[in-house]
Amino acid sequence: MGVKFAKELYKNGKIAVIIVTMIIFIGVLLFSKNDAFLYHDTIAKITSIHTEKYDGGALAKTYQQNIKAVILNGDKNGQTIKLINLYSQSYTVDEKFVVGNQVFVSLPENKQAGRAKITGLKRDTYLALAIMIFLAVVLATTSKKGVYALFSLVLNIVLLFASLFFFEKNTHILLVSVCLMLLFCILSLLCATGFKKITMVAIIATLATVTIVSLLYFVLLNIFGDPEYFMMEYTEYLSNTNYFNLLFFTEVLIGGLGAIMDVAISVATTVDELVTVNPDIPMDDLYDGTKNVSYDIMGTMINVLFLSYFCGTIPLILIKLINNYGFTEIFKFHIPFELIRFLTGSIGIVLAIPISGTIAISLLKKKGGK
Amino acid sequence: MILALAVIFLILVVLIGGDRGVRSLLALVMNIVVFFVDIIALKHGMNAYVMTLITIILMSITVLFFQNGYNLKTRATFLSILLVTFTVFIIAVIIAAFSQISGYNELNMYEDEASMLAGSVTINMTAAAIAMVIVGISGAVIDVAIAVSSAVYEVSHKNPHLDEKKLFASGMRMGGNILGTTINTLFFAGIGESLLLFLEMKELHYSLGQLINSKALFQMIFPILMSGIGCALIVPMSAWIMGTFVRKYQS
Repeated sequence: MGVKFAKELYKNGKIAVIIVTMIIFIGVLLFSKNDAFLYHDTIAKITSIHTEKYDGGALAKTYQQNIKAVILNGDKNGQTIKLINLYSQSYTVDEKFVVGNQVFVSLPENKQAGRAKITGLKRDTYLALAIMIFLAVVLATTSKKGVYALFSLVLNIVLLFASLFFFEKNTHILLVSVCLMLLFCILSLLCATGFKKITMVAIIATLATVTIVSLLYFVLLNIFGDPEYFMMEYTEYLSNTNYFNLLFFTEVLIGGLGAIMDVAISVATTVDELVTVNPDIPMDDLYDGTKNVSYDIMGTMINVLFLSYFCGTIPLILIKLINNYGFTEIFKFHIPFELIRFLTGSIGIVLAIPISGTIAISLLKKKGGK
Repeated sequence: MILALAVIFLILVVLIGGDRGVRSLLALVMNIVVFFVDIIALKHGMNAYVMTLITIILMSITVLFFQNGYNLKTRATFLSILLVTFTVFIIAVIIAAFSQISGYNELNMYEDEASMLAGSVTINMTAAAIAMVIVGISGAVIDVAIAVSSAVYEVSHKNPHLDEKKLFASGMRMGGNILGTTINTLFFAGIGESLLLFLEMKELHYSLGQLINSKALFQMIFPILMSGIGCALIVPMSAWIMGTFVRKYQS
């Protein structure tokens, strides 16, 4: 069976694609492992570690790693240096290095200026590894469809980075957000289903849902006032604090956008299928059929949002719980933003069902009747 | 504001979703309870990996058996979910062993006065981080698993003469169709939190080198990638297991 399978692959020309892809993946990994010459900062590869206990006085046990490493770039290329690293048993603010890790080091100007220090782990190889496994698995299971999905991911990332330039300038934030949403929505849906009527239906439904959710959000914001943005993560160094309102709002919408699009596209596809199979389908049957599909995805989608928002914050909340922060305090200061994201996104999912149902039926049914 | 949002959310779910809406709310509440128990157990130093396994099993049970009933279809789905989460877990542990994904990153380290808090933490934060990544992916993985299993089950029901290979192929087709949108959903939910992160990095003039080696970036992307891997792996896994189950059961 294995041989037969391989022969089939060979006939389809798939085997060539697979081999080329594998070579590219391995090439990327090898390159990222040996790209030290591209960096200005000094990079060293850890060759041996000797660990001993270190008495730091804190409750958590602390260890000292005496590290030997070889410099990989710059004018000291090839030299061996000694490094010291402290880590605690919890790895909360520190890191435990292993042999083979590459680290950024700051070298002293001269012998008297002290010893070399580790400034950070070189993570690009591991990032590349995770991305390559992801790409390989997605491509292997979906072939052509997956390529489009990945293409839309890349487009969206480019869009996001492009938008940063505008956001940084602090002007027209609302305009940039609106454009960003429009482009995200149109490009992702085009990549997902191509130039078809259902794509248009899904785009209109998504945009209508996003608009209604935004209005709702701003009305509530006006009634109840701003959340305390200074408690939010990644705000410490930002100077454009006047725009947190809009920036956070954009974040909230982006977070729910994927789920809303998912609902819209599923509903549009279902209606399209029902109408194609039976162009004279009674309205009631159409509504019922759409309802069944959408409620199936509603529950799971809300669940997906819940898990992706909250799981990310748990480790830090855990640290606070251990330090005797109360649940009420954490509830008040540390997860309100996650809650707002989750609730707004979920409201979007629920609203998307009737909205995309109505739009899909009115647009697709007419065509079916002609 | 949060309360208002919550009330609107509840009203909408009940109004639009009706019976089914209430049932998915109940499942959500059960998941939240499981989640809380998990956190409290972790806080008291329970092994994070054991707790992850228990959490995943409980969450799958609520979603599968509570929402969809205990039958051949859900049993097959349950098995494939366990196998796939275990595989992703292994991948995550291996990558995390080298890449240090735990605790505070270079940007949020100073916001929480992290170093003051760290001294009294005696649990392994790497394990906790991996545990949360795995629990986090379970939602999407369960979602895809149910879709694929249902499709294979339906196809085999309507065409009792299809062999396992054909069933597998139809499951793969179905899975391929939804995988794209699922990855899209995960991607947007993941990067939704990153706008401020990226702006802060720009404010600090991160170079490309700093960006791709950043712990903050890695902590953000890692869960998205692991979810994607899980969702992609569950497609062939549940198509295969469902196909085999259906044919075994019939003969």
